[in-house]
Amino acid sequence: MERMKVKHADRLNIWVHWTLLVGLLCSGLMLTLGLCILLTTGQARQNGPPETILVLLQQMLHGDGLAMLELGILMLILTPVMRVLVLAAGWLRLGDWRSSAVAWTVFAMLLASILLGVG
Amino acid sequence: MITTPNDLPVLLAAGIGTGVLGAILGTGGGVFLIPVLVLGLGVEMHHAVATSIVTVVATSSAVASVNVERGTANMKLGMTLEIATALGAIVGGLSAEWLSPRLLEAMFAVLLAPTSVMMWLGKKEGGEMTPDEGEAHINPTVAATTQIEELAKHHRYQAGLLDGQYYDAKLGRTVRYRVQRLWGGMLVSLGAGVVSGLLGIGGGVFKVPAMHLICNLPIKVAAATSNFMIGVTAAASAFLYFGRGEVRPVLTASVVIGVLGGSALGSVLNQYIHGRTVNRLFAVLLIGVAIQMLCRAWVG
Repeated sequence: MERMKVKHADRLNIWVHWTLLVGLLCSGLMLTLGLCILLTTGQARQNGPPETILVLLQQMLHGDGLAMLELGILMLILTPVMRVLVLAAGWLRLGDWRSSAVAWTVFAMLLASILLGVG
Repeated sequence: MITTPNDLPVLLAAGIGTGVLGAILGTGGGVFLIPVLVLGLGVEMHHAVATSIVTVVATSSAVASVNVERGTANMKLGMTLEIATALGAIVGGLSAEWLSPRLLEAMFAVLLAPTSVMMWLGKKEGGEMTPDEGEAHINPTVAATTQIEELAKHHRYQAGLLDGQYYDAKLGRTVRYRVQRLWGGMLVSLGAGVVSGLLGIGGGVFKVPAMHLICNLPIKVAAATSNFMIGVTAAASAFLYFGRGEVRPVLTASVVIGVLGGSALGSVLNQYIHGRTVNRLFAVLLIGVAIQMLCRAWVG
């Protein structure tokens, strides 16, 4: 039983590690590619808020470097949020109710701060 | 505006420096990056702050991915303190209209000066077990928490749920530690959250000394746990800056790519740096931040 708990706890560390690594690799790749495209084409950024995610995805599929950068940055910002989710779910699975409750509280506060517009 | 290929090496270098500092000291690097962007490259302040916030997320994620794997970051403690930080960030954001950021900066600058002296002197890590106690009881097939409970029984103290251990490559042994005075850490984290919401920084300069000096964590654990936390705090602000279109993609991408490289380099260096050196580097950083905050408060 104890060995199984150690195994699960180790696995949770690996999940968090991989969540961060995948988020970083994907965003890093998109930022590098987007930057290369932009520097060669010399495309300038328009002022104002970015397009919606769907529009950005469509633009990226057409080889738009700027859309690739915007999506890469968005993916980077989402990475820590995903980390909190993985920990909350992982601790819940391990039966560590207290830590899981803390992680879910942090996740709820993150959402609240985004919704309140105060970060 | 920074979009020419000529600026790329400077931005990459600034990113690498920020990443190395973040990996070793547990800060997001905003206090270093913002002056470089504003004074060195002429970037407008709000764009520099937006870039800095995204950079904090990058540093935190890159360093945390290594620290989590090594077990240096105390994730349970980080998450617990994050409740106070997130609450502080909301309070900071809500009170931004009637609280003067300049007055706050002056107050924190005054607080940082004695803190830097305490960090320079370092702290006898009372929560740490001695090498004999630690090494003799290590059993890889038994959960770390169980071993800590056994040690607690042996040394007659109440084992905390947040106590932990990590392997220090420089010392060549496993270091076990106790988390003490959690309330103090929570209080400072709340303050760090308020400052983060008001000034757009990660708040690592407050969290690391709090965890080390108040909660009695080894300096490397304090830095790793702070790094784990600041990404979560900064992510909430980063969404806002992104939504308002204040994040300049080319500028941010150039710095972030440098940060990812710098964080990897810093994580490797961190293994071979003594805790005492980290203490002293952090003290120097605190003095720099205090001077920067005083200047901004003075100029307005």
